[in-house]
Amino acid sequence: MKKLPKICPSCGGVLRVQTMFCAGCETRIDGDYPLPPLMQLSEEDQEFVCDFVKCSGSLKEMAQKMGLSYPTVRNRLDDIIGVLNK
Amino acid sequence: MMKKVLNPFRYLPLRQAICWGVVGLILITVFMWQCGLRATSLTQIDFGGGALWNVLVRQLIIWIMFSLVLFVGGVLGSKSKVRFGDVAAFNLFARLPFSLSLLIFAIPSVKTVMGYATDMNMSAMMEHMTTLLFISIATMVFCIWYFFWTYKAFAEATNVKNSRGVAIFFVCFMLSYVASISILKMIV
Repeated sequence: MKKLPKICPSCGGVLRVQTMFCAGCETRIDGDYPLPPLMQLSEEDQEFVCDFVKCSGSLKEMAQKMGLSYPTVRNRLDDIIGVLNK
Repeated sequence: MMKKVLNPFRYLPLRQAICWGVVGLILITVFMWQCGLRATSLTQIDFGGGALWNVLVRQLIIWIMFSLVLFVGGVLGSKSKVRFGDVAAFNLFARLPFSLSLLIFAIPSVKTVMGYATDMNMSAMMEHMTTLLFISIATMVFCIWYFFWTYKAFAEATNVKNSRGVAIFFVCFMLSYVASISILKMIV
């Protein structure tokens, strides 16, 4: 699966969305849109957030599923919250 | 496997941490009582002896006091919500290497030589240099292990890491060490 680049390889700035394309009817929409907040996270963090939602927000269940301790999982969540708040 | 040995606190469920910690605490308390040992500070022991309850109370004071200081350090230094239970459970488990190091007193020659050291009998100590060297190296290895695990326990429980975490941990450790000496002196 292709990885969506989020950082500019030239200057290191955050990339924005300019074109959305429909593969079905070849409609092309041009504009200037920021990346959604969750898309700005790393792939591992996005996976963590998805798993968190699938576990109904239970850190205890997440810890059991990931084989990590509860404080470690909570710290990971706090770090992601810190990134989103920036 | 190596990751789990170096930092078990990333993978250890809290319930297991507290269970193993309590088992270790009880076993080492009984062992110390049998050998006539007692804790005089966070990292020191002597041949003061005493009743079983006395040895146990000293161990409990050291654990709870150190956990409290680390908890306060974590609350002040962390951007995450810190739970006292996490800090206490991991801190108790992290004390296992220190408890293991005390098992060296099960060796009769070690107990004899440490008795000479307590009495400051230099001539007798000089005759047992090999045993002294063994004791020094063994206790140093376990001490390094204990400090490393205690820091890792603090870092995982409070989410305070890197240079900031090391600095806060060092301050908490020194405060706890000094406080433990004063508090344990009050116990007969």
